[in-house]
This record gives sequence, structure tokens and C-alpha cells, in this order.
Amino acid sequence: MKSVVVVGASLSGVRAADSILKNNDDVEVTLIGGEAHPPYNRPPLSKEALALGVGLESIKLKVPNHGRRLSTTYGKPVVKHERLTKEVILDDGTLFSYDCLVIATGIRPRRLDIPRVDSVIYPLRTFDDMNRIVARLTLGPSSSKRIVVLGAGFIGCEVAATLTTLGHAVTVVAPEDVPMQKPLGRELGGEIHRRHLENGVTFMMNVRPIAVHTSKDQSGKTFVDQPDVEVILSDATSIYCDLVVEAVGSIPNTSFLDGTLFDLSDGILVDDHLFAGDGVFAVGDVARYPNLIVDETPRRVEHWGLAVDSGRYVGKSVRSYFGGEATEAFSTLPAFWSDQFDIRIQSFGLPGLANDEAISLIEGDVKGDCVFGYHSDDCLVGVVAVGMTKEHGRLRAMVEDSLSQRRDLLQSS
Amino acid sequence: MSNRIDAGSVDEFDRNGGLKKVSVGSHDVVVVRIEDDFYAIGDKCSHADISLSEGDVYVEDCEIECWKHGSTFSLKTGKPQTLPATKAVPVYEVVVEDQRVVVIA
Repeated sequence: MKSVVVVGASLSGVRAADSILKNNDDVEVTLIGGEAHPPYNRPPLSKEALALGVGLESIKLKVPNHGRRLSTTYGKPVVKHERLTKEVILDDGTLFSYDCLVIATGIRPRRLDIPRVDSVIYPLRTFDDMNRIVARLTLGPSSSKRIVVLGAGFIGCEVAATLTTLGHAVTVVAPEDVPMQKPLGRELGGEIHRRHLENGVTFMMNVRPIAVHTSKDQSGKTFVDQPDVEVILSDATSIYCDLVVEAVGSIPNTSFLDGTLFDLSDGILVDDHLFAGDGVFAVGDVARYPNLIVDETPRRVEHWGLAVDSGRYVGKSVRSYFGGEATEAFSTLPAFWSDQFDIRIQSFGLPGLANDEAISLIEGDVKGDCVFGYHSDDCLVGVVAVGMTKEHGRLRAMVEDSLSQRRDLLQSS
Repeated sequence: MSNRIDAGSVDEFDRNGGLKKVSVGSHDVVVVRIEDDFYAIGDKCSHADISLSEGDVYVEDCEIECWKHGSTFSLKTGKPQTLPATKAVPVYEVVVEDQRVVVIA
């Protein structure tokens, strides 16, 4: 019986454990999660779950039943990896040996390195993070809070939309010109900006926060639990609020691999079979992999769908590693969605590869349902649809066809 | 007057969560077998325009999962068990007649 350890009881970790057990008969799997909770689904944390303040039951992930072949341990993160002896060690010293290791540790929120009072700044990545925000929102006499959201990426914009809908006064602070400028481009980002404004969100763009203070927590007498928070901006203005939500990007969770000589320059580098070397694989947000549907450049992709697809795939790659039949390279079209107010954004391919001048409206009306095309080397490499919910199959196929032609062009040149 | 739609023979369905998508008039229904029981619910996820028949069946919980965003639906009641979906999908009666699986819509 071979032993496989999956580090990270995340979406990709759960899917990986299942696919390893389905694709390998003589194998047992240990799934290790650093959070105290059993696995759950993260996208609702910034949307439906935050709005409803729900319990874990509403977002729990199914862990398929494999009887005694699957064991789970939650609440103790892996802190060390011994590459040569093939072991991982938990924070309480427990040691697990493996024949094969799958890393599914994902990412954590980046924190701004500025003078700050941590107790009033809330990241949002975990169920506990969400609960802290929900608890803070219900604290104090006023049901409507003043909230500053740092960052205008997808998480920041989703949180802003959800909290505005709940009746809070939300100000988004970000250094770009328009929200989601990097992934969506200036024109579409500008349109989403307009729709957020129409829905009552305030934006402070082209500024950075330089400090977060509490003005009343030094007295020790009043407002200790609900201090007035001052966010000082790079243009020397201040915003006063009740709490700050920090959504300024993410960092891959690879510190337990430090010293192992894997390439950890951005996540963990793996090949097109998600293999890093010495029996180690990586899936989901933490894996930097070449997606041959696009090209040979390894990239990390922080999409829900990638966590599912890579987890489902890796069982076959592990089977090959254990001497089974060879499997095809991992290759799926990246796709993601985002819901903000009644705006449904859906992306296929890698729109991030396109420069701003290579982005154009290709279908519909920018003020209504529309599709933007993202080009690189004169080829369509991604589309982003707003609305158009019946068209997803067609849009996906359109990008797949174009990427396939681009691959042929790149190979022949 | 109800429609009776033949979804195929009993043997076409794996006992361990075998499923099939069938058309009922203008919409689709996913028919699932768990042991000797058959279930039929609306095939379109109530959150987005996705076919539930492409997702995984969880036999012990009698649920099907939307592969796209992860909501699970009860095969018995059609109600979503997890977010992001919040609305139920329709439930249909299924009967077995002469080893044929028949959806009544």
C-alpha cells in the first residue's frame, strides 16, 4: 500500500484526494488541513455567505467517502517538509511519511506594510475571516457601518457590492484608475466602475493608503471595541470609518517548503503534469504550471475552476508516477466568474495577457450585456462577458479555437 | 394531462449514482439512480445556466453537485444544500414500469 499525503484541505486538496483514490487502487491518502474547519467552498465568502452571515453548513464541500483509505486531519498546518526523507511535519510535531505528496496549500491575503492597527483591518480569505467581519458589522448601536475597502480587484469589488447591498457605506481605495483595471482593462473596468457608482459605492482611485490609525483607542475608556478608524491616503486626505477590509492581492502558501530547493519564486513550479520532482505535485492556486492550451510559460492561476480541474487531474499523474500508464499533460481553458450587484462577469482564457490597446468590445453594448475580446500577437487569447449568461458555451469554444490557431502560429514561427 | 417520458431501461443506469439527461418538453431533467431508487430533478442549476448532469453525484447524501460553482442539490427535494445557489430546482416523479425508467412531468 502506497501512502499519499495531500497538504491543504482546500477545494483542490479535496478534489485531489478523491482523484488519487479513484485512479489508484493500492493507495491510501491523508488529507491535512491547517484550518480547524472541514473543507468548504470559498467564493461565497465575499458574496452570498457574507450577505446572509451563514454557518459552515451552507458552504461545506463534499468529501467523497472512501472508507478507511482516506484519513483527514484538520486544524494543524504543515510547518516543515523534508524532501530527502519524504516527510511532512505539523505544527504540533506530528510527522507523516509519504510516497507521494500533493501540495494544495493555496494562497493567503497580502497585508500592506504600512503603519497600521491590525485589530481594525480585516482580510477575507477564510470562513473565520468572514465571521470576524460579520461580527464587527453587528457590533455597536448603528446597523449601518462606514467601511473602507482597500483594493479594487475582484475580492475588493465583490465585498464592496455585498456590503453596500446590506446598507453599509462603502469606500473603495485603490491606486489604479478604474477597478479591476489589470485583469479587465481600462474600458470594461471603467464600465464596472460606473455601475458600482450607480449602486452607491464610493471610490477613491489613484491613491494609496499610507497609514491606518484608530483615533480613540488610546484613551482606554471609551470606544475601545468600536474605535473610530482613520485611513490616511497618499494625497494627504483621510477617510474616517468603522472598519477596513483589506483586499490587496495574495501570497502563495509555500513557507513550509523553504530550504527544499524547489523553485518557489511564485508559488511552486511544476511541469505540465503538475509534477515538481521527488514525488511532489502541486494543484490549485499555489501551482505555477505551463498550460499548453496557451503556451509553455508557467503561470499561477487563482481561479476556482483551476482548483477543481487540477485536483481532478492529479490522480492520473500520481498513477503514472507509481508506474501506471502515462497520462496526457494537464491542459484546461482557464475560466472564472464574479458576481457584483446584478453584474455577472465571466471570463474564458487569459485576458491578462493582453495590453490595454489590444482589448476591444466585440459583442453587445458596453452599457448592457457585452463581450470584450483580449488579444495578444493578433490572436484572441481571452474574452470577458458581462451578462450573456446563455452564451458561455459559444464564448468558451471561440477562445479555444483561437488559442489553438495561435499555438500553430507560434510553433511554425 | 401529464407527460410520460421514457428515460431508458433500468440497466442503463449504474446503481452507484448513474445518471442521464432527458428532455421534458422545452427543458431538461437529470435522472439519477441510487441503488434501486430513481430521482429526477430539473437539470439547470438555479444559480447559473449549467447542466447538473455534468456534476458529481454523492450517493450517501442523495445529492448532486453543480460542477461550475459547487452548489449541491438534494435529489429528493431539489433544494440547494450549499451556496451559491439559493433557489430549488423542480422535482419530478419517476416510476419504473417493465424495467423502463419513466419520468412524469
